This record gives sequence, structure tokens and C-alpha cells, in this order.
Amino acid sequence: MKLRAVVILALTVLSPLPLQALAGGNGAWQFSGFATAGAVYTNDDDLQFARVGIDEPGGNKVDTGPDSVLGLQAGLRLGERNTAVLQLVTRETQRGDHDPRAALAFISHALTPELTIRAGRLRSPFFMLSDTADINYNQTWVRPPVEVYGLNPFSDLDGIDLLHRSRIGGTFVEFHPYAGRSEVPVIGGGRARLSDLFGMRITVEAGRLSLSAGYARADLAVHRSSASFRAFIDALDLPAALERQLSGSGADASFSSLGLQWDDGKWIVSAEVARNTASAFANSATGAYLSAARRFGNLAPYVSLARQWQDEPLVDAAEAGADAPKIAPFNRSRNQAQRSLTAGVRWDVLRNTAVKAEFAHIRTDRGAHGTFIARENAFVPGLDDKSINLMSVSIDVVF
Amino acid sequence: MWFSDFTLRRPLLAVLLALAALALSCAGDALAQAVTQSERLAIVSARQGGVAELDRESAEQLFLGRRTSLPGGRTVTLVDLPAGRIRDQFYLQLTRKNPSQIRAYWSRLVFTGRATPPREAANVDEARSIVLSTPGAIAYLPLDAAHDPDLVILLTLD
Repeated sequence: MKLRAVVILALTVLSPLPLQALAGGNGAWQFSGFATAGAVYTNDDDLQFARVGIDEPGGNKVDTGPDSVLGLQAGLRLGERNTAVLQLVTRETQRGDHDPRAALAFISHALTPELTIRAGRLRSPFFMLSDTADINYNQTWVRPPVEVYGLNPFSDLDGIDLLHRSRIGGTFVEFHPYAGRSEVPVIGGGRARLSDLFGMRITVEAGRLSLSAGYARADLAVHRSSASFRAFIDALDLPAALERQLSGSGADASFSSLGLQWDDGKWIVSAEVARNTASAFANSATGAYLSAARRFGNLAPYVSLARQWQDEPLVDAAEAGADAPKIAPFNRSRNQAQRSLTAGVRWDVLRNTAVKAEFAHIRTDRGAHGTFIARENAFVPGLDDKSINLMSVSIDVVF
Repeated sequence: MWFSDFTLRRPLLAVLLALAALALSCAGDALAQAVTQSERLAIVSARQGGVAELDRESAEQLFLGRRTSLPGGRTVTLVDLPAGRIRDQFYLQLTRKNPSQIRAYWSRLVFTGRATPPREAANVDEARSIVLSTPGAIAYLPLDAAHDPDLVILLTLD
């Protein structure tokens, strides 16, 4: 509630400012934007690709939902120390609509040249590339590897953060502590929420190499209300204690990640490993990827290997006891474990435009649907342990 | 091997190959552009009301959006030339980042609200007049344009 008040306050404070700023002129306003038109083809009759926490699975084999996005940003400098930023993003949501949302809406104040405090709608820096997850132009790939980036769907942070940026010798270091809450819709219906979220990210840049490490913890609530979930629960007649592990509030969640990037102008090598844990409502898993790209003029072919392992299923078989077989289909549908080999090429057609095409071969684990959603009933057998090819093309611009 | 059941669909392969062929034809242009001769550049400020001195490291930090003020505390306004050869050469010499690296780098700063990009001038003349009219503004110019009685050369780049 308090954090929502901060956002509203920030927007209220800003609303009378435009006229003032326009009168002041002198480049106080900055407008920019980014967009992607993308299409994904899933070569499977039973499953379709979806980015967890981002889009709704599409109706056909070709889906424009996972990657297509439009973002518009206005930045306003208020004197030498204050900035206000509003970024509106529209893309297919988990509800299947395209309602625009504020991906950023914050005010920042430079306490010292090195230290900035920001409050409002920020971005959760759970991963090395969280900052630019919507700005596909910034990535070599069509999208960051889903085996890692699907581990945490909470992209917004409603709260406060600090950015401390300093230079130690030839090394640039950024400390980024943050606190707040975050919410996302659940595919099919319902909401998931992180509250009392606290975390820290540290980024070190030394010439061509950058390293990034982060840790966060939060209280997790997942309220599922989809018709298929209700029908599944009603049919099972589970003990109340078990049902409370599938949907509800009060679970502990943690998140950690470690990544590196090497970019010498020719070669771009990146790797990241991330892990999430949840005491209920979600499984616990570890993901990793290793990717290499080589620039040849305005062409950059790339290849990536990625893997996600499940550490703990959503409901532990031992706890479920005699009900374990009944719970198994639900566990499978919430297990993203898979491995993939991706090969693609990025082509910088114009200064601000990149065209990308990539082919991914994915093998989902036994007992896992991977990063796919069932086209029909999610709780039938035979949707795990599959080999699926994914073809993606996209055009990205920044302006 | 786990990817032994690799089945590449023919139409998809055709699309990939067509894209690759198109892209190769453009790569030639970029290479031709890269070998054109470079000229010497200088970072300048106004003689009156401008920045008096600037070391190379501070210049790099400023143009990488990592700071907005000088070690003494004075706020600096950065002026960019329009996208093109001089701008690319400047960032390569100062920050050792090539055009695609610097574009990705700055779009990250902008779209996370971490930094405001430099003010973009339409050409060298406009960059000069912004520097002269804005206290604390600095710009990079070709060395001949930098030799100007109203400007101070703070740093030359090789």
C-alpha cells in the first residue's frame, strides 16, 4: 500500500511540471522508444512456446506474442540532481490483451555524484540482463535464454533502490540494493505477488569484461483462478494441507544469479547461472547458459547452449504420500526443466535496426513441460520428455 | 547425442539463407566505411563560462554516462554530433567501444533511466553554438573546427 502511494505521489508531483519544463526549454525533455516485431513457430502439435511471466501462449503455431513489444519513454531533467522517467510498454500479456503498462515510473535524486536514490516503478534487477529484457535491440539473441530468464517472471519492482557507482582503479563498480514488491498475472487467471522483497545486485566492469552477481528474498503468494486449475482441483479432492501448497500466500522465495560478459568488439561471450527457491506455489530450479557470438561487419552469428534443472518439484512426492500420482500432472506443468541448442544470426541492417533469425532445438526433461504450455488440457500424460524445434525471427528498433 | 533428432524444416532454412545472403551484401559496405581515413578530434568548451580543464579519464566517464559532473563538482552538459563517422571515431578513440557496442551501451543507460544521453547537435556549427551558449557544455569537434578563438581545446584524441 505504501509503495503504491509512493508511485502515485511521484506521478502527482510530476504532473504539473511539463509546462514549467517546456517553458524552460533547453533539452530538459528526452523522448525515446524501442520496438520489436517478432514471430515464433513451435514445431509441436501439443505444446506451444510461451515466455513465463511475459505473454499468453498463442492460438496457432506461429505466435507473435512472445517477442513483439513497443515501448515509449519520456525522461525529464529537473535541475541538476533530479530526473523523472516514465516508460510505457505494450506487449501481449499473460491475460492475452495488450494493455499498456508503466514499466518504469520513477523519480531519481542524485545524493552525491556517485549515489542516486530512485523511487516508484522500477525494474527488478534479478538477472544480469534484467534491465534490458524488453529492449531486444540490446541483445544479440532474439530473446535472452528462457532456461535462465524464465526462472523469475517478476519484472517490475514497486519500491526504492539505490545506485552507487564508483571507479576503483580501472574498474567500474555498481552497487544496487533495492526493496519493494512486485506482481504479475498468472496465465489463465490469477495473480502472483512478491512482497517484502529485498535484494542486492553488484556489477563490475573492467574493460571488456563485466561480472554481475545478485541475491534477493521475498514472500511469495500465487493465487490461481483459471478454469482448468479449478476443474483439476475439484476433480482431485486433495487434502486441504496439500491444496494450500498449490495456491495461496505466505511462502518464502529466494533468488540468486551470477553472470559474466566478455565483449572485445569482435567476440561476445556471455554466461549466467541462476537459481530460484520457493517453499510453496512454485518449484525450485537452477538454470544456466553459455553463449558466443562473433561480429563480422554488421553480421553476428551466435550459438548458445542452455539448461534448466528442477531442484525441488512444486509439491514434494514424500509430502504428497498417496496423493503423489494425482499431483504429478500439476508438478509436470509447472516444471520448466529443459536443455536447448540455439543457433542464429543478428544483422544490423541500419544504425538503429537489427534483424534476427534463430533456430532452437529443445529437449524437455522427463516430468517437465519446459517453457511450453499445453495447447489443450495441461494435465494429461505425454506432454513431457519431448523434442521440440523453435524458429524465431524478429526486427528490433530503438529510436 | 541429445540433439540427434534435429529436423530442420526446409522453408525455414530458406528464410535463414536468404537473410544471410542479404546481410553479407551489406557487410561489404560497412567494411568499406571502416577503412576511410580518420581525422584528429578534440574535446572543446567555451573560453567564457566553459569547462577550464578535463583529463582523459573524466572525459571517458562523462561520455559513458557514469558521471555527470567534474571531480570539482561542476555539472557538465555533453554535446553529441549526429550519428555518423565522426561520432563513431570519437567513441572508439575515447572509450574503445565500436559503434554497435556504444549504441547498445547507451540504449541500456537510457532505457533504465540511469543516464540522459548527450544533447545531439545537427552538425559541427550547431555543436559549437551550443557549447558557446551553454555554461559547462563540452563537445568533440574535428581539430580544424576546434581551433577557434572562442573555444578552449581541453583534450585532443589520437
